[in-house]
Amino acid sequence: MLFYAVIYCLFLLFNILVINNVPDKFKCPFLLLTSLSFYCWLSPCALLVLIFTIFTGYFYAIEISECPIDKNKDKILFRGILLNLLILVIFRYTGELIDLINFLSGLNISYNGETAFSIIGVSFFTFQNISYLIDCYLETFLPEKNILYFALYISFFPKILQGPIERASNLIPQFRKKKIPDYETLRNGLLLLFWGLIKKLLIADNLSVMVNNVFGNYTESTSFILILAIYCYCMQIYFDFSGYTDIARGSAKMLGIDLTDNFNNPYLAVSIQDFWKRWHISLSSWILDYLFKPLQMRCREYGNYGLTFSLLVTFFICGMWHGLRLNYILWGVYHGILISLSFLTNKKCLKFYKKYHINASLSYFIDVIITFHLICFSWLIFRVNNLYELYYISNKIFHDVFNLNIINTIGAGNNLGTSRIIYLLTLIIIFIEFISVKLNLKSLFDRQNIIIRWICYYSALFLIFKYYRQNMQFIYFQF
Amino acid sequence: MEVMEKLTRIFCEVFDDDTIKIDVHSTANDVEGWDSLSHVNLIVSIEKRFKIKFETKELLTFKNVGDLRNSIEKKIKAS
Repeated sequence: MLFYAVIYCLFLLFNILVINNVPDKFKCPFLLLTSLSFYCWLSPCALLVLIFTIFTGYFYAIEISECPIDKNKDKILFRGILLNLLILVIFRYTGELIDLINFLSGLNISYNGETAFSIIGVSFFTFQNISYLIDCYLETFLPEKNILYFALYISFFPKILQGPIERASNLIPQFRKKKIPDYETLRNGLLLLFWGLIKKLLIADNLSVMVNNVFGNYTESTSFILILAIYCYCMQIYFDFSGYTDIARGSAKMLGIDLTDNFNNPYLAVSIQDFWKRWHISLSSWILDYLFKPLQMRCREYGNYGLTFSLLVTFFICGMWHGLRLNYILWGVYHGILISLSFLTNKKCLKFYKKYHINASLSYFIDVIITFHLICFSWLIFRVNNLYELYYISNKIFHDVFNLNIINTIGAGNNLGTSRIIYLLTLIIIFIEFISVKLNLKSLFDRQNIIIRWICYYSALFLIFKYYRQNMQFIYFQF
Repeated sequence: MEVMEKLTRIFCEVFDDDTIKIDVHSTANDVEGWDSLSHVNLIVSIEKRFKIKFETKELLTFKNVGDLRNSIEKKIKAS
């Protein structure tokens, strides 16, 4: 069931109507039932894995909290984490592992396609389960005794497929409150969902046509077109994922639940360190709390070497989380190296700006531009199919960068499946998205005359229907 | 010198800012430069100055300066 399919809209509407009309005690059981049905719709086998994960998480957490001896607590936590990692490896990486073994050994082990092993959302719900177990172990969250709330925390349908990776401390208290969304909350939720649809259907899907065409024929593309495609991919992946997140958050809001926002203008980051505070926030804070911090604290005796080692290991794993492909791992290591460099040279950079009297606005502008281009290159590493492609494209871009025949290639850019209107709309949406927080555009929009607002709604709907492309999947579904 | 006073001095040294003022409710959001990467330098300085050793598990549970101070005081009393 796609998030923008008519059947999803009907399913969501049914949930909202029931939630607003049943007594409080039936709200969570109903949401759990519909969440499990939603997941069952994808695959009944996947539902069995989800239910197994829920039961193991629930019982391990209670065992940890009731265990009187610290050493035994460690063992239970270790078993719980190992089990979740095993589920993750089996249902997320088996296909890729077989491919890797085939590639390395020259064998030809066959398996029934990716679908035989892959379960959508498995990395998201196992990560939630692990965070819950660790929080209970650290006693920063008391284990939930009511399995209904815990099961809903793991399986709540707006976020099960692609996150955000929620913490129990954020979600379970909201389920307990059983807040009924008022008119304003419903309206805000619907607007957020609609905004997510615009980002996904109008921008991301249309940019993907141009990006796929260029990367599909990269040997024939000029360096200008390749650079344009990298910028477009940069925007495509942002609008695809943040569009999904807005749809998920909008859906949850209409059910009276606030999910974590995953993005905070990531392309306005002033350093790579800052980028990771703004991009896929729920994953980066998970990795920070449950992987990086414990590692960093264990290596604290070794100063900057320990810090660099912790960062490289963390981002190596972060890259691998996206898949067992060399380019994902390289992408992770690239980020690890950049963050280490950014941290180690931070003071020197500040001194440099001071020495040459570069004012705050100019240094901010320089930092944003440099960081954005470093991120763009990381998305190139992320997007390519193999390392030869990466070598070929980077070589072409860097060698021909001063030899751009822009006039001739702009025409070619228009024949890549994406119309000029889409490029223009992308620029408008980027502008709205990046200045909306500072200028509080939402309240400005709300203050407009009702006719103006409805003209905006209908124009957006018209554009969506005009430029809608069928059967486009979300990029992060594969993770 | 009181623990809190000593802690303030360490904060000023680690984050290179003599104007830093902290209280038990202070968190990383209240001190410029105090983030997940620089946090480790702070912990190492505290351990050296107070001649104590934190366990990794407790380091992951500190929510604010108050938690940090309580743990330091406990360790000083125990030694």
